[in-house]
Amino acid sequence: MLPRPEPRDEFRRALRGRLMAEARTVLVPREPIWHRFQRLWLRPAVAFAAVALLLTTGTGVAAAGSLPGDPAFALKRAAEDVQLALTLDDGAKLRVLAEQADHRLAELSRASTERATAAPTASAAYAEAVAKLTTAVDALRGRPDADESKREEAKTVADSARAKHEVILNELQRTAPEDAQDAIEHAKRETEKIRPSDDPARRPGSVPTKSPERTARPTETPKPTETPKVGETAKPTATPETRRTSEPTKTPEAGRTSGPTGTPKAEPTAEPTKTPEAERTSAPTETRRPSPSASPGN
Amino acid sequence: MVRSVGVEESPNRPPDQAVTSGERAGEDDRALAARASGGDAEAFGILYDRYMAPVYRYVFYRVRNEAEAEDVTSDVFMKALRAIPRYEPRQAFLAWLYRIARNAVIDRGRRLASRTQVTFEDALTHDPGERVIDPDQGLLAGSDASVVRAAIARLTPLQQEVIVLRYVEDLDTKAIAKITGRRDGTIRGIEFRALGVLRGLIPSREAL
Repeated sequence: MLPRPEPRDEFRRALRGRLMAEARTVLVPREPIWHRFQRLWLRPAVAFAAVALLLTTGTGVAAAGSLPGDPAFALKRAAEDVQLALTLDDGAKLRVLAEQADHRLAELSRASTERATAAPTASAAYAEAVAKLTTAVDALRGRPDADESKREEAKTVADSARAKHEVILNELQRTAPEDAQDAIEHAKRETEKIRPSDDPARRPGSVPTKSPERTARPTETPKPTETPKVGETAKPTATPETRRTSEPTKTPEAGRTSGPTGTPKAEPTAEPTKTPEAERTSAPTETRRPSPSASPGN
Repeated sequence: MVRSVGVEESPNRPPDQAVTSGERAGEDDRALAARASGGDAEAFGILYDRYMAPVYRYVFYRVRNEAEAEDVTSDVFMKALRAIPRYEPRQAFLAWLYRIARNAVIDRGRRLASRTQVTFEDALTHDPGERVIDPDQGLLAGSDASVVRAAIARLTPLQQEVIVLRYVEDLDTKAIAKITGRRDGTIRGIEFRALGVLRGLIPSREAL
């Protein structure tokens, strides 16, 4: 046996005191189990029954093929919410959320090619699904009692969803009409967020990426950078991992910086600044000149 | 004697450890945890009294010094307090606490951006308290505590965990397998390799 160090009594007592103080606010009496049951099970069950009824009456067929923004789309979402509520295991819940993000991406793809006007709404719905997925990934990884395998599983779900979505969006960007390009670009930025919060690529990239990128995108500078990528990505499915790392770190940032800097904004600012300055300087110079000539005379 | 998590107690356990047995305190862990998650702070206090020392020791051997061990132990119990409503009674309470401790140690290691390291000076600054040495445990018992601790710090995190649970907490491989989420046989393999590494790092009694 190895030596068994004992904690200091002082530390033991102090920590107990802190825990007891904290416990008064943290440990709140729970509502009876039956109430919780009602809250957790009954409501989804009622919703499930309602959705099932609608689906059997034929409205469901329309819902299944609906796109974000369509009236029937709400029904499709309700069915998904029920599916999520009925999934109890955290890992399984995560996979359901990943599937839902897949669906939103498929709808964006359809909207981009069939009805470009619906693409921004589809892109917003995709962003919402990504946010839900990312929150669930963080929640699972942040649980203090989650074992390492669960944490890893959450990361794997996030990583594989991101890899898959990147490939799809790159391909979509290549083939979709011009009207849908902004929506696809927005979705691509959202895809980048499918990472655990402790992923180093998420923190530095997330804040500065947003605002400059939006202004720079219309310049079309990034397009040539992405085109060869799509060609490469489309063929092998396993390869994107390598590209993924290099893509967000280097290419978009370079594109973005060059965009705003290259915009001839600097030139117009310089011109007006010079003109008034020239006028002002010349005026006093002329006024001073006569005065020295006048003073010797005086 | 080897024990399982939170069930039996070891006869060579120090007095305060004997109190940690569920049977002797009158109420078992699951009942206390259920009461705690229902808002009973004192029930959590009893669980704390039972398991604070094992958690502290578990952490102690995996961080650099006593101060860090206290920090992480505080963190573990604060997290346990907040997470207790989610505790599932099918898992032994101590195993659950070890899991939280394990994640806390890993998270701290990540935050420090490098693997937990113990220097020989760090190891020497701590008085390991009561030493219970089994003369049959040739390698570990025959060496100075500080040397052993510094040597443990050279192991991989998983090897450290197995060695501490096995040779400090006196758990059997089955219990360790439950805590670490690995198979019994895997734990034996890890233990075997860890002892091999320690053998190279710790001078034997004869050599001394």
